This record gives sequence, C-alpha cells and structure tokens, in this order.
Amino acid sequence: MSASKNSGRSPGQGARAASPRKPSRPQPSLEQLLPLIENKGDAGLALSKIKQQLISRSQDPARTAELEAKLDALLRARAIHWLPTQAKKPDTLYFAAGRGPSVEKVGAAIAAFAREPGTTVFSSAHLAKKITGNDQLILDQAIKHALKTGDILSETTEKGKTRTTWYFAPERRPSVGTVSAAIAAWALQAGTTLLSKAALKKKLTELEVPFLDAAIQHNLKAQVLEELTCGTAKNQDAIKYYLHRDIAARDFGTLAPTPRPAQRPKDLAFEDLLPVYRRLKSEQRGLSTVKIFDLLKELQVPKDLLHRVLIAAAREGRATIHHSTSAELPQEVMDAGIRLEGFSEPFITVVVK
Amino acid sequence: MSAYSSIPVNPFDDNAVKTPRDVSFSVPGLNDDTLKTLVERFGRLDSQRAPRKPVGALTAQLVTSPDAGYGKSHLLGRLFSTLGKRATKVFLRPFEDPYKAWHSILLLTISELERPEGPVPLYTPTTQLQAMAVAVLARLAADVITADGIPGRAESCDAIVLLLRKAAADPQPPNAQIHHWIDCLAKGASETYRGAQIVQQLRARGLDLGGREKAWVKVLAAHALNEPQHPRALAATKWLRAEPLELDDIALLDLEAADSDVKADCPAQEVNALSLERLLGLCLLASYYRPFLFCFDQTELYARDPALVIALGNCIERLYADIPNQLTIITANSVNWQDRILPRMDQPQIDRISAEIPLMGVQKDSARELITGRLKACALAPADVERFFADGWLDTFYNIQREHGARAVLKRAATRFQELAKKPIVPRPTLEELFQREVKLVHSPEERQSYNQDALMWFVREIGSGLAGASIERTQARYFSLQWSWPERLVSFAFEGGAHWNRWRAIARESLDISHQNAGRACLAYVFRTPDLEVVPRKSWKEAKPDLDAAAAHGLQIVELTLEQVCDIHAARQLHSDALERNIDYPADQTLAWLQAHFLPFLKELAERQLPAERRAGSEDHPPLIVGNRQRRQLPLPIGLDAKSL
Repeated sequence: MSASKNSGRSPGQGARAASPRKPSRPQPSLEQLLPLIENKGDAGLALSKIKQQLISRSQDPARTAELEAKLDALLRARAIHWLPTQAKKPDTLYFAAGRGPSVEKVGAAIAAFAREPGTTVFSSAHLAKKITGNDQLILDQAIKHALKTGDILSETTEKGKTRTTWYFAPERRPSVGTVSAAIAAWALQAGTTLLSKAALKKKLTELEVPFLDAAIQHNLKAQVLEELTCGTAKNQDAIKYYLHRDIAARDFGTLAPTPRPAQRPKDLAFEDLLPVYRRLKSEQRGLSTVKIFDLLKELQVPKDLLHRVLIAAAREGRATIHHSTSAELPQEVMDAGIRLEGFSEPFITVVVK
Repeated sequence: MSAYSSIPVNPFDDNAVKTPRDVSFSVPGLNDDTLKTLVERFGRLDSQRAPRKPVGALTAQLVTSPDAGYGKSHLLGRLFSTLGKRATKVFLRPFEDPYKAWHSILLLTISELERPEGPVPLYTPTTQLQAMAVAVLARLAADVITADGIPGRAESCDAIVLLLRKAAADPQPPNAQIHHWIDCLAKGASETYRGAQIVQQLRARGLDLGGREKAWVKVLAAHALNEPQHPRALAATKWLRAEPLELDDIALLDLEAADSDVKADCPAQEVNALSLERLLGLCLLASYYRPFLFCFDQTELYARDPALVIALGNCIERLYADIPNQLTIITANSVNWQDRILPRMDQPQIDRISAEIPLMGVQKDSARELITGRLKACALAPADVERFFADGWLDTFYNIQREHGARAVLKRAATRFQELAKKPIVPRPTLEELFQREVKLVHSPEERQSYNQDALMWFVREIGSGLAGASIERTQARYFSLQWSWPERLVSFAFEGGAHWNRWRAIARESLDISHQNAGRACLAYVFRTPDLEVVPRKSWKEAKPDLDAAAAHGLQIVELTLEQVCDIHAARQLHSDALERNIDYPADQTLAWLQAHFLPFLKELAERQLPAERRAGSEDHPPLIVGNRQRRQLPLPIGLDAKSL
C-alpha cells in the first residue's frame, strides 16, 4: 500500500472525509421487460435502451444472458416482434404484438402516394423521403405488398451499370398522355420562365424519357404549349423553348388566332374542339369556364353536333358542363346551351379537364 | 310510416353557406387541393417566428367556380378553420361607396378585431384586438429592453425579456407584470429618449409607421391595458377607425395634437386615405403578431356599378403593392367575373390577380359519403340509409357527368328524400319566408345588428330605387353622398357613425347648403343612427347647436333606427345578395322588387315627411332634429312605388 499523500494529517484536517457508500439499487426485475416494450407502443423500444433500463451499468454476463433468454422466450411466444434499425449504430427495435409499423398500412400509404396529384413515376428513393419514422423499417416489405395487391406496378431500367426499379399506379403507367400532362403542369408552374427540352428531360424519369418527344408534339398540337426559338446552334433541340399558352396569353397578350377551317366539318371529335377551347380560354385570361355559345361561333358546327360531343365528354369525365351563373346573359347564349331532361335551366358553359 | 316520414325536416334543405363562419356541413375531400394551395401561400407570411420583417404580398388569389353552389364560401370557412389562430381573418362584403372603399375595409377589419377568437360557447374575455395589442407591445418592449436595458435592473433584463416574449406568444389579458411593462412602454412613448428608442426598434424591424409610431403604441396600450368598454379603449377604437377625436379622447390617450390627424370636416377622399394608412399600420404591426387574411366574397355585387369595380381594382392593386403581411383572396363565379368585372378593370390591376384557382365539383363517391353522413345524423338505421340509394338514382344523376356542384347534389338528394318520405311536395319558400329566416339569423350575432354604413347605403340605393319617379344619384358632397331626386323634391342621405361635434356641425352646414342650392324644391336631409351608436346631438355641443338647429329648420333629421329596423335592413341585404349569387331560387330582380314593396311604407314615410316650413304658421314648436319611430306621421303627398321596377 503506498503512502497516502495525506499521511501525517489527521482525518478531517485538509483531507476530504470519505462520503458514506450509497447502498446499491436493486436490479429491476426482468418481468418488467414486456410492460416496458408494450408501453412504447408503435415507437418500439431499442435493445440498447432495454439494456440501459434493466441491466444498467452491470457488466454481469449472467444478467445479460438472462435478458437475452427472456427476449427469446417472448419472441417464441409471439408476445413481441423485432426489426433492425437503420441508425448509424446498428440496434434492434422491439415491439409488442400488434404494434409497430404495419405492412398493410405502409402499403396503403404507398398506394395513396402513387395516386397523389402530381405523382407519376417514383423509385424507392422517393418513397424513403415520403415514408418516415419506423415505417421506413418495413419499406421494402410494404412495396412488395403493394405490388402483390396490384396497387402499384413496376418496371426496371438500366443505365450503364445502374439498375433502377420504378413504381407507378396502374392508371399512371408512363405514356404520351401522362408525360404530356406532366410537361403542361411544369410549364404552367414555371410561369414566364422558358423551359428547354433538356430541362424537361431532366425532370423525367428514365421510364418517361422515351415519351418526351411525342408528348411535346402532343402539347403543341393541342395548343397547350407554345414553341419559341432562340439561338443559332445547329442542334435544333438546343434552341427550342416552351411556354404554356395560358401564361403567354396572360402575361404577353393574346396569341395568333387559330386558323379557321375552310369548310364546316361534317363530324366533330373532342380533340377537334380542344385548340379552339384553349384559344378562347387564353383570350379570357386563362379562365377555364368557356361559353358553349363561343365554341359554337368559332367551330361553326351544328349545335346538336357540338352538344353531342360535349355530353359524351362530360360522361367520360373529360369535361364538365354548367348552368348559368349569377350573370345575366344574352338570349343567344342561353339558346346555345344544352337542355337536358330533369334540368330546368340549360347548361351554357364547359370546362375541359 | 316509413323511417323517412318520421324525420320532421328534410336533412338536405341546408345547402347554402352564407359566410365562412356559418359552415355547418362538410364534404369530405372536396377541394382539398385548393385549400392546400391557399394554406401554402399563406404559409410564406408566417414561416418566420414573430417578430419578423414585413413580408410582401402575393398577387390576390382568385378562386373561381364554374357555377353557383360549388362551395366558395364553404372553402373560405375551411380555410378559416384550418388557419385558426395563425391569421386574423377578415371577411369583406362588398363596399357600397367607391370613394370610401378603404374606409369600409378598415371598419370591417376593426369589427373583426373586436370579436373574440373563435366561436363562443366558452367565454373568451380577450378580443383579437386586445390580443394583438398585448403581443405587439410585449414584443416591442422586449426589443427595447434588449437594446437598451433597464436602468438599475441590468441583472434582471433577460428574465423580463423572456417573460415578455412568453406573454406575446400566448396573449391573454396581461397580468400585473406584463401590465407594468406595457404601461412603461406607453409612457416611454411620450418621452424624447425612450420614444426615439421605440421608433428605432420599429424601424430596425422594417416598420415605417409614417411618424405615428408613438401614437400607435399609445393606442394599442389603451386596448391592451383596459376592458373593451373602458373610455380609453373606446377612444383608441375611434382613432383606429379614422374617426375624429374629441379633446377628451386626445387627453385620455395622451396623444399629441398632430397624432389626431383626422379633421372633423375632412372630405371623403381624405377619410379614405387615412383609413388606408390605418390599415397599413395594422398590417405592418402584424409583423409582431400574426398576418391578415382578407377575403373578398360576393363579388357579383360589385358588377352592379362600374365605379365599384374600378374601386375594387384599385384596392387589389394597393393591397399587392403597399400592404405587407397579408394574403388577399377573391372568390368569384367565373362567368360573372370574366363578363362583368374584368372588362372594367385596368390592366395593371388585373396583373395583380393570380391565375384562377378553380373549384371542383363533388364526385359520386364523395356525394355518397356526404349524403350518408347527413342521413346518419338523423339516426336512420343502416338499412334505411341503403334504401336511400336504391333504384340507382345517384348513378343516373352522375350519368350526365362525373362531378356536380355540392348544392346540386344536395338538392337532388332533397328530392329523393321527399319521394321516400312520401310527404306532400313542399312548395319552395316564399320570399316573405326567406326574409323572415334571414331576420332570425341576423338577430343572433351581435355584430350584425351594429352600424354598418355599407348596409345603409345599399338600402338607400337599391331599395330606394323602387320609389316611383325617383332618380337615385351619387353626389360629390362630403357627407350627403346619396340622393333621391324628383323634380319637386330632394331627399339627401349622409352616413355618419361618429359623434364628433365638429363633424356634425359640418354635416348641418352641408345640409343647409343643399337646401339653399335647391331653393325651388322641397329638401329633406337624413342621417341614420343605430342603437349601438352614441346619441347625438349631445347637450354639451354648444358650438354646433346653432347650425344644427338651423339645419333642422331646413329639413335635416337624424333617424334613430330601431333594432328591428336594423335587423330588417341587414336581412334584406343578405337576401338580395343570396339572390344575386343564386343561393335562393328567385331571380335577383324579383327579390329586389319584393323587398322594395316590403319597405315601401318606410320609404314613403322618409320621402314624404313634412318639411318644417310646411308646418302650421305661428307654431312655437321647434322642428325635432331627432326622429324616432314614435314620431312618424302619415303625410299628404303620396309617392307610389314604381310599377315598372315591380
């Protein structure tokens, strides 16, 4: 025993009096394990926390073994289940039976995300941002569940050495239609900022890129987009820019009128009236409610023909028709409206979806 | 007896929302995207914690519906509910005087601020104005203390600042400590050094209150530290409403003479300009509290008068350009907006309005949910609820198109209910019944019974237009802004809710001028007063008395409306608005004609009232200035209703 530094001094003179040793706290019973886990509900309890609470600083291997045996017993009895965490330090989360993330619930959340306005094609990386917390622990299982139930479909692309699996709702399988709609929405959102083809391509997934050219042409033909040229590069794609026609009409005035057909068409498809509808819409500063009278005047088709097309479009959900509003309208506008049985007033305006 | 016939009231008859606070039903999922968009756009105003630098306004958000009954007011109601305490929400009914548009908006804003937060089954003693005042002043005091400390209390500054910021985060009627510091701040505003500190702190936050910083502090302190009916608080409200202050009011608020910037006899344009300044001040100070949400609804009513549309456009432009910390929303029926409002606006004003945010209709699944909800609320058994949808009537209805307006769905469901209940078809309510319903609704909320110059102007203009032979004219006069004019008679109307002697002297003098300028005609001049206003004239108005007496001798009369008359006028205006918006099954012109006939006895009484000069010669009686209900007499000159307008 080495000489104490304080030797020669009597106890209490300069030396600190030793504090009385605190009695050690009794170890918590392992019977508290299940209530502890149940108490945490859907949040779960990590193994590191369990050890902290039930074993505390004890390094006793017997105690640790006892705890692990208890956990095994509860797992075998299906009183608890576990998931590995994805934290930097690996750990295990335990949940009471019936608690914790549910594959069905997360699968339903994925299905709902796939159908949200603006969602087209997405990858698991997109989902990882959307699905948060403990639900992320079962993301892969939930995706498989959603694929199995048919809520989503998948396709895989390869770019170099990278394989990516893309997911989408069945009704939103990439097509010219879906890509056209996406481009139109981006153009509207961009306002007066012109979008190049390269910029549009960057916004699309690999699954959608093949449809880009056709989608742009579709939007140009339907007079949703206006194509502008700027620059002298030999690559034509590099000098073309796109602007939404509604923005152009609102911010830069009306555009050149659509050339009228030389003869009155004998038949009329819904797509035929779209350019006229869009022009009328842009002339009224982007307000989407257009009078049937105005359509009739521009298209120069028989009233019955236009009405048939509009009624069919309304039934298909491609358009909606509406009665007169609080505005007093001229008789000719009322006469051009659609009269349907069971409705006392004519439908005099249309909104194309 | 079927389960349906036992239900006394058709559960689908309630299909219209009049104002955002009246939302009584919900359609799950309807227009969620639109609501989300508006909430997101509002979010940029309070993305930073208060106190924040003023946030510039976005373009006015235009929410359109393709037809009546698609849920514009319902959407506003949901927006109000979603934003909750994040915003001071001001529902703006159309103003009637294009030269005092800002005054109307300011009065509606103050009226909203004087309400407690939220619906009141629980009594909430704090008005929104008091909460705003406490929050603004507590945060401002915290800023001043942080910058300058407290003499002799350096060690406790941090604790005091913490206390003040905590009080500002959840403003309640201030406790003793907060009361003390707000009081110190208000007193400090009168001192040179401390006053300069206050101005400096406000400017540091980007708030320029046009040299009125100290006045704002004192006015808000009057609200923060006193009950709403306390004389100081009432004086402060007058200042906020851009009304002229009496000397007593100036003394109560400890204002400087220059801060009492509303002259008693200032013209309408000046009142309007000062009202804009007040509104700007409130919105700037919202940097210390919470942003405003201004909602222009019932926009069909502006279309009656091109001057109103131009004024609306000016307001939209100024709100965008000059007024921070607010989001403006305009709701409109699409065709009305594009045919009758837009053509009368200038391009710069139109540019301050966003692209339309269209409202969607109800799809079949949501319609089913809506109808089921209403049936379940009637305690119908599930089997009866299912029976409601038998026969495929809903499929037939949605065979026409995949979405319908919410009101159309409810009306169709009402018809179905009628068929199942096998009750005799109830004829649509008469205009009399609809009117009485509105009167009952008006009687409940206290604020609807109060003075509202727009409602009175509407009454004089729209209801008065039914008088045979009368030309309804807007004048350039300062006070008597509307007239009923016949070749032989002129009836002028002023709209004054204040009680400043000098203003009433000016009103009296103007009525005398009108009378002298129209010497060849019988001239009457009216000013309406409502029961909530102070009684005028006061006995203490010695300086104004000669002018008031002279004016009374030449036809000036103060008409004290009874509570019933005020409610009738509000109800009539609401009914007319409902007709214009197609919320009822009567055309607007028929509704107006009915209202004109309903009010004809009162109109005739106003128009035919005997002039003082027509009294018996030699009578010692002075003509009464104030005319209440009991003093009305039947008069000899009949003026009938204009048959053409019927």
